[in-house]
Amino acid sequence: MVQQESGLRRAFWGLGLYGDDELGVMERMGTTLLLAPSGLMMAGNAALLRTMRDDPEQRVALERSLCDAAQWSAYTTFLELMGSAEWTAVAASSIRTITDYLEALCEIVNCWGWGKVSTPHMDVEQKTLTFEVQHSDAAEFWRSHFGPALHPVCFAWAGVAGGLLDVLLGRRYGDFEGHEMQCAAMRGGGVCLFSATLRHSFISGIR
Amino acid sequence: MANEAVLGLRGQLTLDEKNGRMAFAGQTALYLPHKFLTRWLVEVEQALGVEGMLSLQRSTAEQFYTMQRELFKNSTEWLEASPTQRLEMGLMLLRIEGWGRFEWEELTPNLGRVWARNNTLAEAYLENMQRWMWPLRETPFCWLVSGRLQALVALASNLPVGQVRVMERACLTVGADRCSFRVEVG
Repeated sequence: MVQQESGLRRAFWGLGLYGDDELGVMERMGTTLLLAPSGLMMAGNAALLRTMRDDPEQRVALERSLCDAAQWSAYTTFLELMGSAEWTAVAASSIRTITDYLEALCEIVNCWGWGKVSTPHMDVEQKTLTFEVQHSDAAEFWRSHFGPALHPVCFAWAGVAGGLLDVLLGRRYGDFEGHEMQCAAMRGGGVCLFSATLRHSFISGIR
Repeated sequence: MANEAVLGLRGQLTLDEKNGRMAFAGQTALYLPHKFLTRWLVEVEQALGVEGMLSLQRSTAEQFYTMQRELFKNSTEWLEASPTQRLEMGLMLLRIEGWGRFEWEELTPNLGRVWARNNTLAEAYLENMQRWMWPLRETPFCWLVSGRLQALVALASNLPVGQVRVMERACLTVGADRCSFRVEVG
């Protein structure tokens, strides 16, 4: 799959990632993209978290809802991506295993400018996923603007982790849950670590 | 010529494959799939309310102002263009960025009105509204577009962002037939 990864990256990038002349629409591989300055969403998240810094319970709930929102977005985005004609043309023929799917989806995400997914590892038996992200846009923006963070801040990436497992091993959105285990915004160092596992309420059968 | 200068920026999108980061004419940038952006905006709005969204509009304006200023700082066409031409160049830049197609409807030295022939953000809200069972909105949704326009007008007029006000007066997401923005300067 390694050879296909760079091919997929080139193919996605080669679609011409800018809006069309007529309507300013950038629809590529089943999803519509908008180009924005780095850290656009993180600036809003910072404002949100500031309002809740004196209420730990509310902050935790907000962080979870930001992760869940991103997970829903990732889940639907990946489904649309894999259903697109471009995906069929560029990726489908080289995909044999579920790991190939994972690697191919990670390669597309790596073209969004959010940072780079590395060492993705999926345990199909245990239904778990871990991966690292180098140079997470969210973590770097936070650290450069607000200093060391007290808690993980890469909510969109946590959502991507959960969304990947929902798509690859789940039956629907929310079967799994993504978490950031280690965040470069807190520790520095440039690497964030994410995992996804079965959602607790799903395990106990009370969803 | 001015439009060609903007279109030429398309060749300046670069991906740093080693680090997974992207630059637009040297400025760090990223792509936001519309589902992520829309769903996140709804989440932020529910938590922060109108005041929070106004604050988000301001920070959006400042971020885009910096990016656009850097994009054009070495452009002869931009430097030699009149304010009106710069406003047109700014709207073309929005198209390249995938935000949609916006047109000036009215333009005086202190006042302007922009309408959207196509507004990606509002369209995304409508597309997702049914899936997420959101109601038709009672207030406009396009805070980020307002911020984007605020940056564009400030830069074209050589004004600080704070001296430009942009309000969305009609929005597809509240049932209007198009999005429309009022711009005030000074």
